[in-house]
Amino acid sequence: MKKFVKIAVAAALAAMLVTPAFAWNWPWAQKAGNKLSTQGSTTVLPIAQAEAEVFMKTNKAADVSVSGGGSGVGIAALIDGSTDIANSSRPIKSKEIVQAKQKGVNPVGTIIANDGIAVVINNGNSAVGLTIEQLKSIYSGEITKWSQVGGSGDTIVVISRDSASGTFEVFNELVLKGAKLRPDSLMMASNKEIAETVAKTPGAIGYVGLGYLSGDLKALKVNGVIPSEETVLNGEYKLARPLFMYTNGEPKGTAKDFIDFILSAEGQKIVKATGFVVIK
Amino acid sequence: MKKGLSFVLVLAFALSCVAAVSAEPVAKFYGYDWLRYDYQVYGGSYAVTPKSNNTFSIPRTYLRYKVADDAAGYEGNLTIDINNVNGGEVVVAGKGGSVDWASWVKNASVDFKKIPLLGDIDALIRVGQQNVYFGSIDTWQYPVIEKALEDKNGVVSSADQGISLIGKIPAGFGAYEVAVYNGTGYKTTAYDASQNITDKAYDASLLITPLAGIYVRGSYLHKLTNGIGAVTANYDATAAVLGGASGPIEGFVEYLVSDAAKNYVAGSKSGVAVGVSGYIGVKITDAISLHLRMDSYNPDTRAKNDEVNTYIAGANLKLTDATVLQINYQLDANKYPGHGSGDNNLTNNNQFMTQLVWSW
Repeated sequence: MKKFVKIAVAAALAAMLVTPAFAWNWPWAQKAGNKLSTQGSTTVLPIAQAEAEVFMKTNKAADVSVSGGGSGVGIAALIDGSTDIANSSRPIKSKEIVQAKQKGVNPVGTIIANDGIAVVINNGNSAVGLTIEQLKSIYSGEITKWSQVGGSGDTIVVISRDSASGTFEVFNELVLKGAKLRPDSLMMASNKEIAETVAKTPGAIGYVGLGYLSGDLKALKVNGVIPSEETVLNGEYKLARPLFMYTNGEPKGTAKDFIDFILSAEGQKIVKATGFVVIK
Repeated sequence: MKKGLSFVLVLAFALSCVAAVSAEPVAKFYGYDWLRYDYQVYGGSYAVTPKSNNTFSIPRTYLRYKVADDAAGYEGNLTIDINNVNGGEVVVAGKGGSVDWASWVKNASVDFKKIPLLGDIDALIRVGQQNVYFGSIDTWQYPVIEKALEDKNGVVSSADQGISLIGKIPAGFGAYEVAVYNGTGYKTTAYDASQNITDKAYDASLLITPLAGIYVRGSYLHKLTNGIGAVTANYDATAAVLGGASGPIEGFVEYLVSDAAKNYVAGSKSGVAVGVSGYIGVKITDAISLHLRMDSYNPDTRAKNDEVNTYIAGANLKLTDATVLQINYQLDANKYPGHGSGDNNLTNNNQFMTQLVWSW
């Protein structure tokens, strides 16, 4: 027993000392050098798709795949090694960092853009703006009629993202602040679904990333400030957040090339073109 | 009658969960099954021909229901554990009888994530029947079919009733759990006049992740009772786990000690059990992984010739997103096999197992 213990502990210590220092990739498990997978936030998705398209045109050997699923899904995929870049609309949680480190993953985040969360209503609604307190009251069920907040129509139809969404987490932190979401809220799986539902539902209110605004929706002022690039960058608009790409360690190889491209002047033009806000 | 009632209750539970999920988008009904085939050769010694059996079984069905309200900072979890056991199993110790399908409430707990007294600390309070946070028993993901070292040898139950504080150390530096339990495990209720369960078990566990790829966990249970019968006695258990991962390889070593005062017999038994477990897993491709584990367990450091070594070799094949096929060979070998009458005739147990894990 004692001999076994000594050998086992010595082997474990040797392995622990050696393996973090050297990346150990089995040759048959490695991807082709220029293959890159990115996964996660549906808010970051249109940025990643637009950037990947241009990046692959200028880097013909690169093969970048982009998929959604939510910030939590992307980070989980980074931890289990099934994606190279996790797209996230929220900072990584400490629980996720602990899980990542146990799996030998060191998550490093790069801010690639900024986003404002726009509160949107149906085009037929006369409401112009709400305060954050009014938003909280609507989403917690204390205010149920548009007439109570200067809007038109009757019952407020509340639409929200599900709890796996980084967009919901930020909305929860900045607006609800601990208040319970009204139980009859319609839960949507993506920004696109919210935008489509609000556009066709009189009385509806929802929230989406700035990139999902269109002529089919009406964006409300929040605390008197209209959501725009200018107001997000100068800090006036309060429902704003950075968007991240997380890698295992500092970005390297094709992942570094891709992220460097996004941070370049050309990449930031694409950020702006997709309706998001450039980094300062 | 009892078996039929048990099935009806479980079916009603399942249907109500599905209905609840349809009505409440933040609730989730899910679970998994272990569908197993065993070929086993056991019971042999120098004078006795070994026996063999081969059986299909469903050793575990977990029905799980989860409801979460992030805005309110609350989450509830319920797990029903159903298993069939070769030849039946006594459902409640001391009650007699046997059933081919046994079911338990494995977990029934509520997490409160917004705790005014704790302010901004990254922690939650969990109330109810929950995991026991010790060694590797609550973190073991079954890369091989066998249970974790302390679970396999009955040192610690995998779940118990109590209340715990579960928190994270800032900057992802680690995690901690502090809990108080009945100390009797999830298959025993405290509300039984034939049992004398007065002492509680106190558990503390600390995980440190100093660098990506390295972690250390220390756990301590104090005054864990084996409280069936009139006498309760002190029972302490300690475990240390050193683990790591890099790329496709991960593994850990665990050292376990338990001290049961009621097992002490002057001159012949110390009451102290010691065990070591080592595990390594290698991911060959996204669908295939190989696993090795070796345990050495000494149930009593003074009793002679009772140590058992366990050797496990396994391969896992991910067939679909919902199914994984596990193929294991396991040998439980007496470290000191007896060779004559009066010697310790503990025997080897060879098992070839295949198991389909179906998650739904």
